[in-house]
Amino acid sequence: MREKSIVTILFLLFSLKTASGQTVLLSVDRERDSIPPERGPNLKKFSHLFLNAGFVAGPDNPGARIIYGTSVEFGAGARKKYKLSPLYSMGWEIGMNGKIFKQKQSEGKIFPDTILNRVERMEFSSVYISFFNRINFDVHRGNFMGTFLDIGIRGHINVLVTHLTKNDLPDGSKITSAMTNLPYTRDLFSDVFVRVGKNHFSLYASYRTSGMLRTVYHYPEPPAFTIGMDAGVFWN
Amino acid sequence: MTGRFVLFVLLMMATTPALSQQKYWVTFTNKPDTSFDPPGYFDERAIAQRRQQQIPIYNSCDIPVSGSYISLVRTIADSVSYTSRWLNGIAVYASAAAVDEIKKLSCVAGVETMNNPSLMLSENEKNLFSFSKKEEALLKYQTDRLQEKKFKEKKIDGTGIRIAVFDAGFPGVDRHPAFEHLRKNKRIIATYDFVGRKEFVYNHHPHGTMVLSCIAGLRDSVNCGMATGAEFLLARTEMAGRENFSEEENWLAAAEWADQHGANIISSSLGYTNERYFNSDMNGKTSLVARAAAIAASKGILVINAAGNEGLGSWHFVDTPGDADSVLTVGGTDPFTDAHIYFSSFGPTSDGRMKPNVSSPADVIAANANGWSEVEGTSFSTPLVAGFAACVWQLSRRLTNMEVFHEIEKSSHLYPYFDYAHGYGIPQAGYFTGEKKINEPTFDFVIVNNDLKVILRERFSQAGTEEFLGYDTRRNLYYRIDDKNGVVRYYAAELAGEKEVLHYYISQFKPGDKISVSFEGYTSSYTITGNENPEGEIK
Repeated sequence: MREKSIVTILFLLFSLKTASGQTVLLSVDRERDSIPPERGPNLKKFSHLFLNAGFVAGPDNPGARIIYGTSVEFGAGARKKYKLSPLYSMGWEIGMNGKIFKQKQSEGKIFPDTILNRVERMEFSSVYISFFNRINFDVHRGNFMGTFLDIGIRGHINVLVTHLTKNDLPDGSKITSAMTNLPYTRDLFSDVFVRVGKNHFSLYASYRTSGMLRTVYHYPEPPAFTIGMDAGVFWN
Repeated sequence: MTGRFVLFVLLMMATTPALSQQKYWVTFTNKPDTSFDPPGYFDERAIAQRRQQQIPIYNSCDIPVSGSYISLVRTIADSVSYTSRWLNGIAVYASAAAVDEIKKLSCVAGVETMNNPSLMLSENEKNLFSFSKKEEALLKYQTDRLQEKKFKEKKIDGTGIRIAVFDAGFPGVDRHPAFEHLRKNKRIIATYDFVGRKEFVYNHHPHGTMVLSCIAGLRDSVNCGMATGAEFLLARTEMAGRENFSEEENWLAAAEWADQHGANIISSSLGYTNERYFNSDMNGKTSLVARAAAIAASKGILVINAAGNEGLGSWHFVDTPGDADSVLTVGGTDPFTDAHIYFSSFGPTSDGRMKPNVSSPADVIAANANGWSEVEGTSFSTPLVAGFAACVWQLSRRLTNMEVFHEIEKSSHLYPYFDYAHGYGIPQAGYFTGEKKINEPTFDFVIVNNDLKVILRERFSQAGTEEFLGYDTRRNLYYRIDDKNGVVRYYAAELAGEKEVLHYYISQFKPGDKISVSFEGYTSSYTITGNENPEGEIK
């Protein structure tokens, strides 16, 4: 409603002046200029994009050992935050998440099979929605993000799960296989997360609260913990 | 094992901010058990300034903070970083638990959190290895636009005026040829680095060097600023980049130091915005620096501060201490249009007071640590006005600081017209050197067939002869629409290109609306009565 009235005022102001052959150097509509902003890092509402990247932190399970350091996750999305008090905000995100579990090729491997490959990894690509609570520690700050602690929950839908292997054939050629539509993975999973940050950057840790694999297959689950860094993309 | 490690990381992440140490500003109820010796504390000039302006040599805010109170708080807080006589307080580092304990002390009046990085108000910088025609012209323009020549003719150059400059460092001031005259005549009276707690200030960020050059720098025989004869106190109050705690406190400390050393003018091209404050806090009373600036003004110092470079940003409005009532806040103009430069912050203050007060060029040539730069920012508009103010005060030593403040406003090229982008416009030296302002009408309000027109008079309807690098800068038309309660609804500046410079449907105004127009030094306004004669009427 308010935005509609701003547009009307602007229209009236511009139509009010019927003719002018002058070069406009400055034009300030105080009606518009003096409306207190509602959107900002420490105002009523704030939306921004984010990117994040992290590492799978374990612990892994026998039969599905992973290689730490190269088992990673990446994400991107949009975040919206509603400030309820200087101390407390709540928000939600929609995003994409990719997890790559690079599997150790060692004796005892059973997931998803016992074959040892030169390289093997499981790649989970999901979209998710999350809800989070934010506690700010610097309540006297101005319109900037400040130092915060987020605690939240995410619900994921897997959009693509790939089992990828790479092998060398005896004739020296290399073969890469990528299998999708895997029967043993679940479509939905969830995790909880904690984020501690200041302004644009935060460190996060997440813990998956549900399995990624169907229980009927009795496969060992990939590690549930990830840790990483999140970067908010916004000015201020 | 890995799971435990992750849990540990999670726990640390969650608790670290809560446990971190914060800086607080602790104020006391009174000042018992203290003694004060004004002649021993103040520079002779500080006392002379007070006498000249009929201000008491000292009052309660000059008396030191009670040593017993400081000791008491010191036993609870982790450290004390600064003590302020003016605000009867101390800055301390303490945990939240310690602060709760400090609050319980009967001598404590209040505790505020301090966490407020500042901005140096420069926008763009381009190093100059040689001067082109444009840069030579800019250098000349930055003082010409304030009519420096008129002061020069009377040999006015700020001699006898002491200016304190607060900034982020002054590298090169101890060796750059632009400041040789200051060094040679020992006119840098005192220096202090409030960040590093030492006297040497000729290092760190060159922002202060550039600012000083716009007050008193010389390039060959061309003045970069107007107060080449003034004396200086150089204070480093800022850490380049962003630093979380101390700048406002350093500003306050530097203001007390400047007062002690007899400063007549404080030139501060620094501002504090959204890191701690909201636009609604810009009322001249909330921030520590606004309060400090107001006290400095009460001591007879003319405080000049930049409006800020937030005009295009989400902050948009003037910063603090530019929001303080007794601070002469300087906005920026574009030398190529003579009107508001795109980044200069807008007024009014959150409580509706006009800001900025005046404007001056914000695209200038300035000395940097090793050479010269073309720089943009209200940072540089401010020292140009500080240099101007020093000249005004040298010419009229009997004026008080606030009289100088108001006279500078009155001298400005738009006065009595104002808007929230230019204030009263660019100060003009001619006002002080006896040049009479010709108040010849340059335009008329004409009402024809329910239209309100502003028509330039014949003599003023031709293109001007003065220009700057191809831009006809002196033919700007400024106009403002106020409602019947005097609240500014709209304002604009246009380069006048035709005889009929404005044309509005009068029926779309409300009775009581007032349109004020300023053109070529003449200001007039027309108030809509609701009974305008549709046949044609010249007002």
